[in-house]
Amino acid sequence: MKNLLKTLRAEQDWSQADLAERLGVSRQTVNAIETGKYDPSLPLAFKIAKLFGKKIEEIFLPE
Amino acid sequence: MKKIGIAFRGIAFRSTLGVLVGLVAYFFFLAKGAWLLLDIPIGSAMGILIAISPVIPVAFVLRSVMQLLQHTDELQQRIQLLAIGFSAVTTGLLTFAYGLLENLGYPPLHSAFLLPLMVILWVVGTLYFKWRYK
Repeated sequence: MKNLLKTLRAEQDWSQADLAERLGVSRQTVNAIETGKYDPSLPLAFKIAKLFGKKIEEIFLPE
Repeated sequence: MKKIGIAFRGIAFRSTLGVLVGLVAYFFFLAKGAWLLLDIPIGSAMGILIAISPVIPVAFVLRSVMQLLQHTDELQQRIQLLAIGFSAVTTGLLTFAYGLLENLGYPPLHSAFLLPLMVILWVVGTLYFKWRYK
């Protein structure tokens, strides 16, 4: 699954650590999601979508 | 938002402290037990209690680790699940293979080695799966 997390994070001028803090996860988790190595759970995906004010499908795209 | 990180760091600190205290207590129980067992008849109730006393701090260490795991995020829990699975399967495979070698006359494997073996493989698994998700 592809995602736009890195772009959205950059738009907010947040570091991975900043985003991790806001989501309540580790920086490694943010990095793994951004690089496509890990697909987040549905609750975390909802949390990410809410944080950026978007729908899940606007952030996460099927490959 | 900051509160989440601070709360987790608090749990991580307490759990790490619990592990360290447990390990120190384990070596104390082990050394003290070995010394006490010199004067106690083998097979007596007191001897059995002293011999298995190191189990208490080990259980304390495992409890601290489990507490930490419950409070880590979903990726860390996934990494731990994979590492524990790797540890369990590899320990089973290694002991099974060694069990077959025992048929050739190799000395029997002491069951007290199983937990340290599992812990070592758990650490190896954790490092490997952490690296895979880097």
